[in-house]
Amino acid sequence: MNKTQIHYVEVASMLLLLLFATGAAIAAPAVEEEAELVIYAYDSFVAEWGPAPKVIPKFEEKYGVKVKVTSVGDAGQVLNRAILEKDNPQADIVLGIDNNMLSRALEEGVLEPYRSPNLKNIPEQLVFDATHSVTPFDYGYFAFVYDSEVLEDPPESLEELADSRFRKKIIVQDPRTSSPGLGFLLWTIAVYGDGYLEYWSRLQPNLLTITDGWDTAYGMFTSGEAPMVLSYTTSPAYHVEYEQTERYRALLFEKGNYLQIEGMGILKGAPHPQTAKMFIDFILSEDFQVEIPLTNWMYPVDPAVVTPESFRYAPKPERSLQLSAEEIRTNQERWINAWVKLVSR
Amino acid sequence: MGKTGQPLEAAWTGRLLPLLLLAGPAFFLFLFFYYPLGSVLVGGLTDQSGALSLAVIYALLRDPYYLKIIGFTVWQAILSTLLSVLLGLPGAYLLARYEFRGKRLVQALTTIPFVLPSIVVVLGFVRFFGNNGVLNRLLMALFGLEEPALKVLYSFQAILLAHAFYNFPIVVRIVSSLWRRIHPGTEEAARSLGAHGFRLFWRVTLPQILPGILSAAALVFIFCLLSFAIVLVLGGGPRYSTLEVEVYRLAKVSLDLKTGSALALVGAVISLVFLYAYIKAQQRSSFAEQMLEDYERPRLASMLRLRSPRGMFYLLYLLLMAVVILAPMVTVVAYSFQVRSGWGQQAVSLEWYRRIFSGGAYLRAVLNSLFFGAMTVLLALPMGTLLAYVGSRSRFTGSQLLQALVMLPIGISSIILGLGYLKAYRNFPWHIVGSWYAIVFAHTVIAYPFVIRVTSATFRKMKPSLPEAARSLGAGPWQLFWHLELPLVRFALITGAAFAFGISVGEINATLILYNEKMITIPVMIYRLIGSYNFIGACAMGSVLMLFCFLAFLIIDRVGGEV
Repeated sequence: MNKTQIHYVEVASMLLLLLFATGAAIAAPAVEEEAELVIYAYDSFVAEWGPAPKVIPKFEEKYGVKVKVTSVGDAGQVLNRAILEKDNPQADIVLGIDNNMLSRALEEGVLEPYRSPNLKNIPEQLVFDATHSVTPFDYGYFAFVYDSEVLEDPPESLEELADSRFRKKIIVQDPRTSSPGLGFLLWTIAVYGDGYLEYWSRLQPNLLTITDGWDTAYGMFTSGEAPMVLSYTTSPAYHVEYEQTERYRALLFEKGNYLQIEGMGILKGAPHPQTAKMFIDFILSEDFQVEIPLTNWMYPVDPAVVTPESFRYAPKPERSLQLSAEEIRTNQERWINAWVKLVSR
Repeated sequence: MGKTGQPLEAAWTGRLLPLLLLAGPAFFLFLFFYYPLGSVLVGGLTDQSGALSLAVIYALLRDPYYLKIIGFTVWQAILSTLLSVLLGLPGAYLLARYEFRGKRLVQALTTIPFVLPSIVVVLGFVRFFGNNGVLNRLLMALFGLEEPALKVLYSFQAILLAHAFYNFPIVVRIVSSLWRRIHPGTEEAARSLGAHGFRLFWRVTLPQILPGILSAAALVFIFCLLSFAIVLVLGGGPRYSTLEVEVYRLAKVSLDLKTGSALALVGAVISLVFLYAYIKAQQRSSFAEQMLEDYERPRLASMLRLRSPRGMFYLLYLLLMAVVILAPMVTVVAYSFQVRSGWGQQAVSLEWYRRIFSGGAYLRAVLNSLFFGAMTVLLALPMGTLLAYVGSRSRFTGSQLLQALVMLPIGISSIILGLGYLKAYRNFPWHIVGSWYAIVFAHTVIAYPFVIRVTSATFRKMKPSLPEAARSLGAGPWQLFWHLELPLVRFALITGAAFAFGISVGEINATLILYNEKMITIPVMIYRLIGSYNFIGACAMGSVLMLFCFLAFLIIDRVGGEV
């Protein structure tokens, strides 16, 4: 390679770099309009195909306010951010606090109770926070989803899941890093009580692997790595809606599936408390509820809202399981540690 | 400059100039690395009331469960390093001693895995080596088997395999850059004296390339120490839990878990020790590299004959490497061209690429990634070069430890860094979290050690006689820098820029904590797509990411830079 060539490439790459930098600098973050409501949400809520792009404009138009939704990672990180900023709250609303996280949120005292008048339309068993610091907006059930083209006789209970015919055929998630993972651990505790460890030791030979998050697990499942995965009862509806296939199905178990209810709350010291209350009222209205199924893949809390056709493939269990927030708070650390010791043997 | 300026000038080059030059980077690093890091790690060094105490660390180091985790983390890192070195040595030899077509292409390709988000690597692996992966389906079709024949994944071997995939290219690059400078004449002389085969390698070659091997090994060890998604998923679950899983749990779930901070601290100390070892080894290796003498290299094609055992060995090695390195990446790219629905259907489509480049959020993610990459280069390059320059010129006691501290971001997981920004600046009146520069700063912190790594080797290689000669001809320090030293390191600068760019474009953990909607990047988009069942889209985004990194690394090899 001769000298002039070298200079040419160098200069060209430097110019290209500068071009990108200036081009992007012009395109990117200009000074933002002052928002009149700031919401911290988990990432998939904010995504292009998530609920935010559908529901936020409706709210903005209806009340004539400017809303800013900030994604702060997953649901666990949303609450963490609120706790970190306790002394100097930057947001009005935190979104994504579920029944398993509730006790921690209450304990940290970051939320301001607000009882929305619209709660009258919501079934009582879904209003999971008696203090009304957290208002529910959707719910779902954890479930094992299986590939019907591979598995002919799927299990009908947790007990059968541990059957030797499913050896290395199941993928679950780690309760330390994933919320379905934690949900499943609690599920086994709800069914087996103190015997959950004994159950896990029977289940273990059937687990192909335990992943760090739902995304990896589900990716491996649809790649055909294993015919069964821990997910939600609504997962099959996605495949029906967007892939026109009924191949993947969710399992309802005899003793019920574990329930997850998601809610949001107003932060103590929120800069815009009045608008925040209006927003809480709004999430319980039809405008918001109707968007939930196909954007957040959960059931709306308002039973009057009609779910789309594909949700026929998202079966609701007749019996649902749940542990109390108090129970979870006092035992979670101990349960997880014992679980880790068992599975890492 | 006149003669009267001499004493002042000497003072400049001796003390003042380096100090002044360092003030900027030091200030930056304090604000955006050491202080945020400290604000997280301090949790491990204080008791409940906030007073300094070693109780948490002490309790941790006595808990059999954590000891087991630390032990396993170190153990898998050692084995992975050994495997990477073993796999890398023949490659380093081929690259050092032979010329072949596409050599640069190979070098560029092997660097890509290094900057890919782990979720893409895991998916690539699963789709190639997995039960329903390409390899198994091929074998099943060939031999009419009912069950997958190869059960490589979900075992300890799988962890080692994946780590080797990530890291052996580092060994190839570092060792070959030293090896190529060692004249084959030494070996010929030894051969004429009767040394052959293994004995020749062990007694003559190995001692010469050892500094390169050691510095590569130290670096690989640190990367394996920090790995966690790979270990967890491909290892088959918490049976193979590492330090990072627990640290991750701290970062995501329980913010004030003291044990988590203490664990992160333990990890940081181990990394620091190995960085120190790395810097020691690197200094020895660049000393050896001063002996550069160029020589003719035979063409590899002439060697690759099936009849000779040596040619056979080379062929097998190249084939194996192609499978291990390329296959998972190619699988991801191939999958990105499919239409919807599972792996079974084979329809080919450009649908996702059309969507990505037709605008909207996908294109924004691509442009943002380029923007952050460019800004990171603009910051990390001068900073890394300055630090490397001063580092290579300072000879005081403790300078190596200081250099290890400067390299520390290599040994800190970026999730801790992101968390540190949150914690350190939460009550700051001026909000840095959620701003574009917070992301650029975090990427800069993660990337600049790689710039140092690349440029400092070149600064050290410079013969001291050169600047002396220039000085005796009357060149001042600035002239020296602009007209002599800077032109000599320009290849290293381009290499450093490519690394900084690649690292920024592939970074996810710190970005996920710090970004807001307008600043979505390619890896964040991948994470989102997978989170909403869109694996094909994720693979397409992953392919775009690979393309950028490939182009960046191709530039290095075009201009003849070395890594």
